[in-house]
Amino acid sequence: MSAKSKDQLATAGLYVIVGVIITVLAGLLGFVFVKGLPQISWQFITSPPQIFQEGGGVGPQLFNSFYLLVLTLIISVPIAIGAGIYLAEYAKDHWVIRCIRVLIEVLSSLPSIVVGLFGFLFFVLYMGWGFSILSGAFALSVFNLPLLVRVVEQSISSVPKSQREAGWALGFSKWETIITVILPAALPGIVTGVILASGRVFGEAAALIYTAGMSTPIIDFTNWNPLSPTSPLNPFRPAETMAVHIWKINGEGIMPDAAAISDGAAALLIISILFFNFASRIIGNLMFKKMSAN
Amino acid sequence: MQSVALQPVTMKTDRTKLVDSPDFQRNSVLQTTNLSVYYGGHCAVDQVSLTFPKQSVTALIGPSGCGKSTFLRSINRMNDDIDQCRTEGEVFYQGVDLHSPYVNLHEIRKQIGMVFQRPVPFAKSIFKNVAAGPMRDGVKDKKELQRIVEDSLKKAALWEEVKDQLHTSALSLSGGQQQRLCIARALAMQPSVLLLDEPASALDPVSTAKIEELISQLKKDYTIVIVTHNMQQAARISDKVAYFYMGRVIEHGTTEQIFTNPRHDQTAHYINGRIG
Repeated sequence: MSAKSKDQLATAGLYVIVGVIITVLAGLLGFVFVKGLPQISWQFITSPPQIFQEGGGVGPQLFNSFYLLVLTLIISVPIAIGAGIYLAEYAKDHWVIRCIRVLIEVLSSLPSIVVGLFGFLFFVLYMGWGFSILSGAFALSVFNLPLLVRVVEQSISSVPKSQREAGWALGFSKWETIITVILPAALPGIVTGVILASGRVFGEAAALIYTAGMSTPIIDFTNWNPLSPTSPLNPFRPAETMAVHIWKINGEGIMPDAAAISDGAAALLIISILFFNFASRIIGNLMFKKMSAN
Repeated sequence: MQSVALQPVTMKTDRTKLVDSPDFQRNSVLQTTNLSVYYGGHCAVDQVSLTFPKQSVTALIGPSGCGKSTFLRSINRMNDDIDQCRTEGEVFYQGVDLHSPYVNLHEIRKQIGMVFQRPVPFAKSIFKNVAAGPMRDGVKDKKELQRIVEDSLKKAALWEEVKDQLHTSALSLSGGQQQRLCIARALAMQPSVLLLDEPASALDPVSTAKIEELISQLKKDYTIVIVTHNMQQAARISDKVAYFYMGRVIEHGTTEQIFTNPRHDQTAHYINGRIG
């Protein structure tokens, strides 16, 4: 076979593979949207679920998903940035560091249900936080951190060494160079990593079943005092997210329109993730522009 | 922080060493005595003693791997950050041994500015690139920053080209402009010495000519040490030349003497393009 026909064969093969992937993806999204989009209405998005009747919504679940994500990011992003800076800039090639890297790999492949059970034992029971948003956010942070740390470390490492030397040559200390030169240059990579991790967190169910719980108390969206038990912001209330809700009504939903609600919620979940991705990207770009060009 | 802020560079080194040093000249701002740099067991710079007179340009020439860049980087101690790199001998800057443990490294690097082979602008605006150093040193007044930035950019012959786009990203500039920006960034620290590590080797001929013209201008206020592979460049802009080979200085003299009447055959061979 000539080099040219080999080349054509390889190209054709790659196109077939890409075609298969796109077909599967488009089919999946199409199926979810075709079945789910007709269910979505303003009433569906805002009203609470019904247990025995038709016409319930997923309002609290949608809010819970976003609130949990925000809390998780507040906990995990600073830790991940600290750990990423340490691994990329300070850690020497030493057996302890190699062990830490292996542990991070292991942690990142830990099944999420195991993270959930750990969260149940540690945050829910031992710390005494009960089934709560806080327990859920910490469990999700455990689940989320390995990936985030990896992403931060990689984006920092990919900033060229010459940038560091340029900082040192101006008399900056190592830390000043990291803060004023390296982090701004690594920011787009870090933001992309946080988006990826957020998508994973947003759709996570197993780690939350035993930590944030499977129920939502009656919450009053006019009460924004975080200490009040009926406030949506109260971190010590149980909170069922969209993904957990889908899982639950498929297993034990007794409302007559359970299947329709599940379809609608699935479509809403995907739309939310898309929305979140775009919003984060825009915010990331704005931040980069601000840091790079006032 | 252990180190104390020093103005200019205070010291606790032994001044008698200076007096003993035979090469010491009153008009030199920078001087090395028997400076050696080792990478592990390999000796990259071997007992180099050079004197750099005030307000002059000294060119370091020699084939690749001859140790001239390593030598340059040991002056402002950029080699400190390389593992297994060890330095012996002394670098005297205004009478202070820079390799003494009492010296404030950050103060040194401010007073001895450095520009690298490839332009390395920060991912910030032009203004913030130049202002980065002064801002770090606590200059907060906007007018003062503005003045420093304008002054530095003018000295680096870049002001006219960028004065209307100070707040756009430095990454949008051309390679030659970026390199002049890096020179402006170093000048903003008000250094007295500039170390240039092949500053024009990654640039096109027009940008190179601008950088050379700039160096001739800057010579009036700064002591400049430049590493270059370009013989014509060394001949055009330098007052003194040091020829490096295998980590040693083979010959050191005025540019005119080195290029017209080299004492060593090796120097003559290199200048005529027969080595390296």
